Amino acid sequence: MNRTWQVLKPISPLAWMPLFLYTIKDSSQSAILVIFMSSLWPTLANTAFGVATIKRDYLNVAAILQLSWWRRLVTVILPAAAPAIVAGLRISIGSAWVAIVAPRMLIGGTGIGYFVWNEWNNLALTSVIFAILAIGLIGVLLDAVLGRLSRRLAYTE
Amino acid sequence: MKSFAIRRREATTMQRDRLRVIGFSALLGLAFLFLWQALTSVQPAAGVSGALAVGATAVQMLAHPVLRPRTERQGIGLQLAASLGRLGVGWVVASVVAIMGGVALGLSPTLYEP
Repeated sequence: MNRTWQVLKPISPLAWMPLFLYTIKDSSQSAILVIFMSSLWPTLANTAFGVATIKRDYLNVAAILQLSWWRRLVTVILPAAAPAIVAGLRISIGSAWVAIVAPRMLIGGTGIGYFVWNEWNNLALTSVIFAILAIGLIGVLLDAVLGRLSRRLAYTE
Repeated sequence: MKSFAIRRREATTMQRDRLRVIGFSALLGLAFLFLWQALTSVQPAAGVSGALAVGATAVQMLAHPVLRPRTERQGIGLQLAASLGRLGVGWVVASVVAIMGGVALGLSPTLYEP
């Protein structure tokens, strides 16, 4: 991937938070934007890689058949790049779930991050540990759903 | 074409492997819980709660997922649902944008240099 795009990738999604808070002035929309930023780059990089490494034969056949750009996208490009795209989606949902705890610790409201911080303020450590376990369990479930999807979309050339 | 006997043997081998994986996972989990409880009861001054205490909290929390009794605070189910909702919105929008952008990048030799 081009260096220019690479610059944006290593930025912690939380670092965007002040900027979002200042520009949209709404904490819950800012929290969603943090999730957006954290799940954007893995999918973007993986999709670009998957599309760039599609076998040239497939694209040539599509060109010979004179498919419209929409049909080329839906019937050739997306299915051929699907395994790479789903791999990106899987990494994305993992990093988004990791990023979801922190914004709510900062801004409060409802959410599991707020819950953890609130229970810490109550010194209810059993609740904190339980919440940590629950976060881990849900992360595993989210990953398993996308793992199943990736097995379904896999193909051999 | 594989014979019926061979296929059946393969199926039972797979089943046995699966059982072995599940058995080992359960064993490791139990060992972890036991160690956790043992360490926290030997050294209670460290302040970390034991497995049994966390288990009791878990049962109580899961029994009231929406509203916690007495405190009138939102329960764990509602908090998790709020987080999952935000995750869903952010992730779906980001994925649509990322897939469109990724296809554009991947198809363009000038923007994408491997």
